[in-house]
Amino acid sequence: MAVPQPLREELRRDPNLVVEIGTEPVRHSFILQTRNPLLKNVKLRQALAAAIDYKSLVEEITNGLGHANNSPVYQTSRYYGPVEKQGFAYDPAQARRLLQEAGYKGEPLVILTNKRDSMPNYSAAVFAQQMWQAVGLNVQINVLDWATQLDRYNTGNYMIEAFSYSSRFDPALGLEQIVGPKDTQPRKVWENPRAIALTTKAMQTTDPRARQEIFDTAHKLILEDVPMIFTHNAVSAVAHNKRVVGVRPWAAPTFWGVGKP
Amino acid sequence: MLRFILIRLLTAIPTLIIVAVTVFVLIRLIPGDPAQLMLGDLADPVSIAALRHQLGLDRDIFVQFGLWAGHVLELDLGRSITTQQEVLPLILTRFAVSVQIVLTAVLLASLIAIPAGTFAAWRHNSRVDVATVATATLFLSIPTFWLGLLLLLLLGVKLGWLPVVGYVSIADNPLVGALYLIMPVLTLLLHESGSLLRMARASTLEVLRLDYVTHARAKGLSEFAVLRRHVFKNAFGPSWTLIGLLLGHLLGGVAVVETVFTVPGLGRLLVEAIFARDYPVIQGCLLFVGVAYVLVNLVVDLCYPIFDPRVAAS
Repeated sequence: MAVPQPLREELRRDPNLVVEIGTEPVRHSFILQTRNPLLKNVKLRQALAAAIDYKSLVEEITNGLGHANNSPVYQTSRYYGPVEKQGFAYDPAQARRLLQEAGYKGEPLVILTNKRDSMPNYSAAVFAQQMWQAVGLNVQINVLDWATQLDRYNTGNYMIEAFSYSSRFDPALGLEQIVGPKDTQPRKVWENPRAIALTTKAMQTTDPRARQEIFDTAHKLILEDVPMIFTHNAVSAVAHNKRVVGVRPWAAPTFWGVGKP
Repeated sequence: MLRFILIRLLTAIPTLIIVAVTVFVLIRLIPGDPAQLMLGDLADPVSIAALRHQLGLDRDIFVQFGLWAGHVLELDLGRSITTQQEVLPLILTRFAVSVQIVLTAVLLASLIAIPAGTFAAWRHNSRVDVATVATATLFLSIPTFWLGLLLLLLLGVKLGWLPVVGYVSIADNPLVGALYLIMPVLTLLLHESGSLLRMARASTLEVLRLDYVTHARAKGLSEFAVLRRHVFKNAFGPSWTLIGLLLGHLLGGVAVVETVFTVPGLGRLLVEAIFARDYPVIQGCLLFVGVAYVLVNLVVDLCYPIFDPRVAAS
């Protein structure tokens, strides 16, 4: 059975049970509206990325169970390699320099978030707000109900949203969720023509090595362009009887690899 | 009497029509719709349009309202968009849970607060009066969610006397079910006692100042007889009105209390439906609440002559 966070320690004490912790392809992020008059400035977006201490943020949100991941490729994917492990560098001094270069003068930035129990969007927004304020950004949080936030996402009506993307097993589909022209699909976050070309290519390529190159390139590009900031993948837990081995937390039911010890 | 009931029911129809139209329109003005929510981040415009078509949300709003209203006249409130359950049985199931809590709480609150308010008025400006009013004001001032959390902490977590989370129906297990209802009932009881007590005290004070009370005392009646025969019957009217208003208001769902204690009542159903933009459930719940409100107040009005013969005469 899937285990809610508060029950994990209690179940760990049961001698008949094993609690397994793992990550899923769900990706938690901050999406930035690149058409916003302020956020269209790439230096400002880079400053936002440099101001976040991802290790602390993810540890706090996941009770020390998760790991930062700034890549659109999820951590347990076969395409999550050495390139994807290189995320944003936490550098407050660099963030302040970038803010100066961007000509930022304290204009307010608003994070839209929600308080769904199943997603850490609110906690993420609060931690990020503190870190952004620490480098001189004027950041406010606006809590909405999920339906309203989703509507704002679908219409592109936001500056920053604390947003979580559902699981896509193929990273090409993970890219497709975010990449595309905003004129025809306002929900799309990243409309860089290179990203669109890479996503189209990933959809048409079957060779794993060629696909790895595509995802590596897309990862490097997203770190430069910062249309959004992926923070981490969802942490999940399953509890099972000790008489069973091979059960791993996953976004879908486990159909094979499970047996007796 | 029958004519009075018919007139009251007929005059409620415009109110219910206004409720139905307002809810129907307002819920559609809120950003977000069920199609978007069901698709989540999968929602490309084509998929949203297809699902909206499937759900009938792309039709003209007048057509949607006409269809819904036609079904309502046949007592068919439709099906939930998210769970596909029929709305009316769903509402009735949840309403039964809310009714248990609300009726018990209001009954107990009336039995405690009205005698206490009457007594406080009789001992006007004494220490008892001040203490009673202060206690009532305190409970009235504490928001129900906070009071509920304090009770959870004390009776559930610290003392471990009552279950903290979950719900067992009284129909399934009367004893355990009752344990789950104690804290929600207690929360409502304490909160609603405040307003009832203050109303009972104020109306009793007014009556105590009237000449016929002085006359009754001058006749040599005992204070108990004066209070019971001459004061209480005349002072009870406003409290009875308030009980009717409270019942009507609370039967519409005590969403906050139900959420704090994870009770699957009507209020929680409505809140969940609003978050899910489940239009048929929202419309059904609010129409049902409107009808319940009208009926409760009708029953309250019909009971007036029992306490005040002048009403029957008029």
